[in-house]
Amino acid sequence: MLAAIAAALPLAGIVAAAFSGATADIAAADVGRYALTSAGLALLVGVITAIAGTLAAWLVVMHRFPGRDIFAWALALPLAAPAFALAYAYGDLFDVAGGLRIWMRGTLGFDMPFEMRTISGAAFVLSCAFYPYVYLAMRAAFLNQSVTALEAARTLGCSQRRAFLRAALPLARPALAAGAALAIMETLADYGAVQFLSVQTLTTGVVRAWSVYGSTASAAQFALPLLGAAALLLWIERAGRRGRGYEANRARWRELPVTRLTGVKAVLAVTFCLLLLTLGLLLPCFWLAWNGLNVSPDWVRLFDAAEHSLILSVAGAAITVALATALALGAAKLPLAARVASLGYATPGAVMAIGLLAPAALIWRIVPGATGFAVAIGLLLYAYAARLMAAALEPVDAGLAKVTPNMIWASRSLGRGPVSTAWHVQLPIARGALLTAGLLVFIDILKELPATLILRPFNFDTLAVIASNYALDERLEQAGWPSLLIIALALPAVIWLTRKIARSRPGAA
Amino acid sequence: MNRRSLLGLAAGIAMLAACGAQTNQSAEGGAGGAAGEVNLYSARHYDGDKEVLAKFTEETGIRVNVIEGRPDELVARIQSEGEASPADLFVAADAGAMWRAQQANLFQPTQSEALNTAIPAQYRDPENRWFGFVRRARIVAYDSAKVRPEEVDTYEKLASPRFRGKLCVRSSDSVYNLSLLGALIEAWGPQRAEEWARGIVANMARPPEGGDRDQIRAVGAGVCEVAITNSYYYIRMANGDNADDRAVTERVKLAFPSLDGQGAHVNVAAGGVMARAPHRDNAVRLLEFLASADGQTRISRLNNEYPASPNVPAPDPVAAHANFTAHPMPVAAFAARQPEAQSLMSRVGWR
Amino acid sequence: MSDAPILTIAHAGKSYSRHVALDDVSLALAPGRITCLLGPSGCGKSTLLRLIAGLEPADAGEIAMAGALLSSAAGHVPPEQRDIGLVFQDFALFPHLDVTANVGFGIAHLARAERAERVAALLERFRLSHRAKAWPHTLSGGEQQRVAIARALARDPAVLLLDEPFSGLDGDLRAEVRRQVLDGLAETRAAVLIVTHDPEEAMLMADALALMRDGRVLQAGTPAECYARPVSIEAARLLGQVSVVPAVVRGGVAETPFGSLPADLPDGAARLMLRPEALALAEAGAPVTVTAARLGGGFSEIIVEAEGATASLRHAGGAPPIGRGFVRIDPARARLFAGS
Repeated sequence: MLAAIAAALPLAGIVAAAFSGATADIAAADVGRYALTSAGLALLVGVITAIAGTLAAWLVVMHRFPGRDIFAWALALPLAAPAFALAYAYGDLFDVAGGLRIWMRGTLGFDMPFEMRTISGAAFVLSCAFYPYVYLAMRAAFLNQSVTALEAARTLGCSQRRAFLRAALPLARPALAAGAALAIMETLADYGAVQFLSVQTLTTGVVRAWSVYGSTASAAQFALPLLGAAALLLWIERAGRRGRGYEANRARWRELPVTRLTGVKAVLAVTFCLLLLTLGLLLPCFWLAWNGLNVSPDWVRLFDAAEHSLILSVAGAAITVALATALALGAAKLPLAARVASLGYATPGAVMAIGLLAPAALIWRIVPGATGFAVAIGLLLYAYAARLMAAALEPVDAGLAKVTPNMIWASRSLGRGPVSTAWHVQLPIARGALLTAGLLVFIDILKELPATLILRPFNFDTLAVIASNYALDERLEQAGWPSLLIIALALPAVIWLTRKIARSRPGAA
Repeated sequence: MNRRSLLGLAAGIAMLAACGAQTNQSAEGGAGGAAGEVNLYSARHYDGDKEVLAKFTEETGIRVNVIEGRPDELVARIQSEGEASPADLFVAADAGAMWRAQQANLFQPTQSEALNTAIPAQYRDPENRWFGFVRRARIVAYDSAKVRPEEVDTYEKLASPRFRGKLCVRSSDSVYNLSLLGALIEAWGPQRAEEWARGIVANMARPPEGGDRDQIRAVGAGVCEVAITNSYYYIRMANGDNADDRAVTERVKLAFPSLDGQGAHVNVAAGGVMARAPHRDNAVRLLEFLASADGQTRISRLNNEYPASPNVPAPDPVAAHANFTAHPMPVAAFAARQPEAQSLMSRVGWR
Repeated sequence: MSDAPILTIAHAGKSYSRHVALDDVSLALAPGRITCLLGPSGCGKSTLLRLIAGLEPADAGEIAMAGALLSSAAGHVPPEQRDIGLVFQDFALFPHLDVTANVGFGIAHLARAERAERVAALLERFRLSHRAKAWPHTLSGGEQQRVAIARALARDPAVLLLDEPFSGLDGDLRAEVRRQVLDGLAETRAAVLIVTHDPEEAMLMADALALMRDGRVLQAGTPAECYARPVSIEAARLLGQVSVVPAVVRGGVAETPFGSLPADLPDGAARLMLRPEALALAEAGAPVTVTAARLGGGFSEIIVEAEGATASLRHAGGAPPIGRGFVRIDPARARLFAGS
């Protein structure tokens, strides 16, 4: 209950801000254009991630080809790369005045017909960053799918491709919706990438209303339709999870019928997986590192920031998961609260900053001496929890759903009170899910920008903040190092996560 | 598992606590010293500033605590902190940002002989609430192979048909563009400024994208012939680590267009003391240090900006690009015109 | 065996929005005795179980154990503070604990050695010793069932409630598990309440029966009583197939299409309830038409008709030919109810 209120406070702050103060003089035509751009971007990212993620998941789950065992977990690795880092890398690599394109024009005699700093370019970058959400969801769905349905489709005269289209895909639709919803929410909430690529979305409107016209009211108003969209996406995501629920009830596992790919097909499969991995991680990492070699970074400052990032991420993950667990345990009584608490996930970073200041102001004004270091860290951790609740709540909820009401009552009738039951029955059974939630939040906090920027204490930089500062100062060479460090810190967590999914079906790893 | 996860949680919190204790300790150590500390809210996010602040601490023993962020987020944060705000000094790299902080009643006037002497009246608030200590000019980078310097010696010429489809410029999201247009509105009135903006939009070689450095590189790549840019990006490219960038600046040159024959548009990085500054005296000392000849020179050398004071010569490598006249318009005059400029740009389709 | 009840339910009531699940239910459970709560699904028997266990508060009435109120208008003792064991239909074993830990879950407050000893004894009693370290999902249905019961008994509860304990099992396994469970329960002094919808099972297991329908207890008594002397046709139907035929009482004799029998009812219309074994084919008696005969193993199920009334009976010999025949009523196994 308290957790729900805490998580919902920033949202209340946004709504309150939207209806107070002077509004900015932003032309309706501009607002319309921003909204269209946001919608178009979200749609493009949704479609591209859905196709790429699904195809990749289908390939690695249902086929055998060279490198498949590595791709199975490596394809999720781009989750470790912040979207803004990909934007820096691609914006620079494919810049019209960059070395690559000058060389193309000079040597090859033609130019790339594709600009990175357009809607389609931004959609490409964000899709590279977010396709793992779809991939992971679909991979889990395919791994847990019913073999019988596939076999039934085959006996009814479907080729394997048609069996995929007509049986496997429709059965996995909830997972697809869930994965794509996550990707779209991340797109709407994106702070650094879209700004860097000068694509003017609603976030641009927020920044413009706030920083030029000084109107937080107008800035917050931009967030309201986004909150609506987020609510809708969360609802879709929920519906997706309900579908997964009864999928898991199959009594007996059977080995999935995998196809061994050879010849051209194998080459195509390898190429596709390699392409995804290259675009999502290898190429941008390489480019950032290559450029980074030109400069000698301030290692002391970077390691300091890395330490801060790591501590915040671990503590933030623990607190967020604890709050999410409390919320999920109480969610039976107040499902609405849980939903509202999740909205922070899709709230654009710039708006979230406005919302976060509302509860922070309360603390600052009420608690004497509250502007100190400890309180600032506490506020920051709280802000992460409020912002990333959805990322933790979904897996925790799914994990706790494995505990049937009767198990809880059995524990109660065996002399354990509600708290003891939660501790000895519900939490242990959901422990895998709790760890998953923790790792997701850990990765998200490593990449987090808006809350960190506005709430951190004195002399306290994180890797994401340093990367963003360098990018704002148009020093991409320097921005590469903190970005790469973020990826390096997040990678082990991502690897662990994706290997865990592989183990979810006996004999599938 | 319970024990293990509990252990992890405990470890995390212990680490955090340890880190907190460590930082608090050092903070107290600073406060315990004779000189104390000063809390700086800086919207300047330049590496060079760290060195300058370190120098200040070295000279005065005053520890500088910094929070960096976007100017408006910092203003919002200070407002939210209310009475308890620890902010002593607010620094930003745009006069418009200072004006908005001033509108939020964040500043107190500072009466300082040192500041008044060091900073010309043009570069400070008329009521002494904030002081610009370094300057940047919003000028033109041009392709020396295709454009003659006299073709870009006024801002009007940038909007002329001569450069139809040959101009690169950032979007209207750039505060430096807003300040430039604000200055033009101040000098010419809104009608003529709007005509000029229409001319600029008509001349754009591509929809606005990227930062100032990207505009200069685009000139180098032949995408356009002229670009509107801030001075220090060019100077940094000309003297930076990146060999490609240095090569670009050999062909792309810097020109200082004149506004009504009075000089180029300049903007300032400025600082002001907070109305509720708990360390007011230290804040004034820091501001005086930034505005001192030594401070201006250091910032200029580290971040390629121009000293605000006419008596402080620009150090190398800035000196090579410092031979220009600045328009005498007070920066406070155009700072207030940013919203107007934004609306105007939106009207003419300057994205 | 003492008959003093340990648990008493008095006038309990429970409603969900518009649906009345329990209506004025009273019942008493005695230690060492097995009471079976029998009724069709949706009759409220599971609700009653949940009320007794404390999973839900009662809307009306009182539940008391050994004189102390558990549920009443004044308050509600939470399940963990009731000395009541509960076995769920789906067993609800804890998947993260092995058999030993599952059984020992409720006695964590005991010293390790004592706990181990008690768990071992229970596993022995329910023939589970060889699965002590097994995980729940590797157990057969019958084993899971016994683990669930052993777990509930570990705390030595005064009352043990079992919700449809054998419904998840089928055929031979069901009978075997039932026997093993009965053996295991034989040693307990707990008052046992078993909820079931299977009349045969109820009669086989119960020391006492309670018949429920539409949220009310129709009849409570020994299985023999309930079977032979149902208080109503409704109650009778719960314990197995019955045929109901119209009758007319005149002067202490009831005339029915299948013959007459003595009646201590006032004159007027009545209904005769016949268990299949109350009617027998005979050489002479009431004339009937045999309309159907089906071999059911050691007996034949036969449908007879007379004067528009039908009844079924079980015939031990081979199937008689379809057509005319005679039946006789065994008055001890038939029952008359006044009214039509």
